[in-house]
Amino acid sequence: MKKTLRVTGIISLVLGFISFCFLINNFMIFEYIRPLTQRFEKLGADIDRLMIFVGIGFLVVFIFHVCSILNLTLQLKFFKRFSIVRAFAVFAGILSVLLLIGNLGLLSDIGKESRLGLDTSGEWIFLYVNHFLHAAFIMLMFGLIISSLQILKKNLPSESVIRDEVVFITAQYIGMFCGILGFISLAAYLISGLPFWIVKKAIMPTSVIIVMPYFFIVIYWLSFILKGRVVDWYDEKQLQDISKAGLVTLIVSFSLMALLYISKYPNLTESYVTYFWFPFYLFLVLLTFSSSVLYFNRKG
Amino acid sequence: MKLGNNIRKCRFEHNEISQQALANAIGVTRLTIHSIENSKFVPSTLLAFKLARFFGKSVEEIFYIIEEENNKARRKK
Repeated sequence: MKKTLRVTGIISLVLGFISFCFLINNFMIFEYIRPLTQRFEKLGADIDRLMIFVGIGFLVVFIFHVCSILNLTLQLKFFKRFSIVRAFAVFAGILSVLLLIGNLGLLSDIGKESRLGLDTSGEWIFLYVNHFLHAAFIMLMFGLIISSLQILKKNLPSESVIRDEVVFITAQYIGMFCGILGFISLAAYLISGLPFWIVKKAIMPTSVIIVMPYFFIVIYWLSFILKGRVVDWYDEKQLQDISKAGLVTLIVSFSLMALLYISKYPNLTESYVTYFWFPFYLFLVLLTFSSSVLYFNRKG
Repeated sequence: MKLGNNIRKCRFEHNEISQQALANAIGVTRLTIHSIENSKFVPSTLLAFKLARFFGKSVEEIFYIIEEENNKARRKK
């Protein structure tokens, strides 16, 4: 595993550097195209040729993400001590790869809408923010991979672990990150002043994208524990922490939802409530459960 | 009432076995051993017996009850 960790690390570093260059290249191409789309000018064959480079760039960035996530999962297996930076990198990596797929949709929307003479400034902002997030993920991976390679170089003797706790704790941290980001996104939709039809269309896909990192880490974790017997799924302390966290989640979610119902969701029209209640409940449960598991886990 | 233990001492006597190695031998996480050792988590009967069997001692030799009333009274004195 040490060798695979080293190889994927080095490949990720190389791909990361190339991806970063491609992101800068994409940014320059976008800065050339954006004024044209905003003036609703017809995009010629030269733009199509430029878009081929953008496509190649996306492919390289995608391969980098796959390689990095593979390296991160190996790090989770290899390094026995939990690291919050690593947990955040798993969360950011999965989110970034989903946003990368979203970029294709954004570019297609920009193309269609500019042809129809519609405003595309919103899509451009999302595209630039996504590129910034990809670049930030590359930087984060650079730091993590270099530090992991240095540890591997030192050849420290690593103690074997029969029952893993790193993935369990990492999953809770990712759940917490997802919950926080979910609440931020809901608040952003509420205060953004976007037309209701956009909010209505975007709220569920956004929520699904935000929850995906938790979903993937749980699948990864299940792939370990499903090999064993049901009674061996959890360590007895983990089971106790989960039970306590479940109770806290029940009380918090029930009380907060009841409070919101009684207060009749102040300042929210019925149409907003219809589309907001489920993502709100989802993020509330995720945040409360994950943070309480972590609290009981640390408390002892 | 609290459950005290001599796990730290037993580990020391057992070639200073690490928490992780003990956790592996018993089939729990390192954090569970850490929490039991610091009296923050009360193990199940099964786990208590597993620990006792690992160290070759009886459960009573590893675990004991701390009477909090006595402790308070002692502190007052």
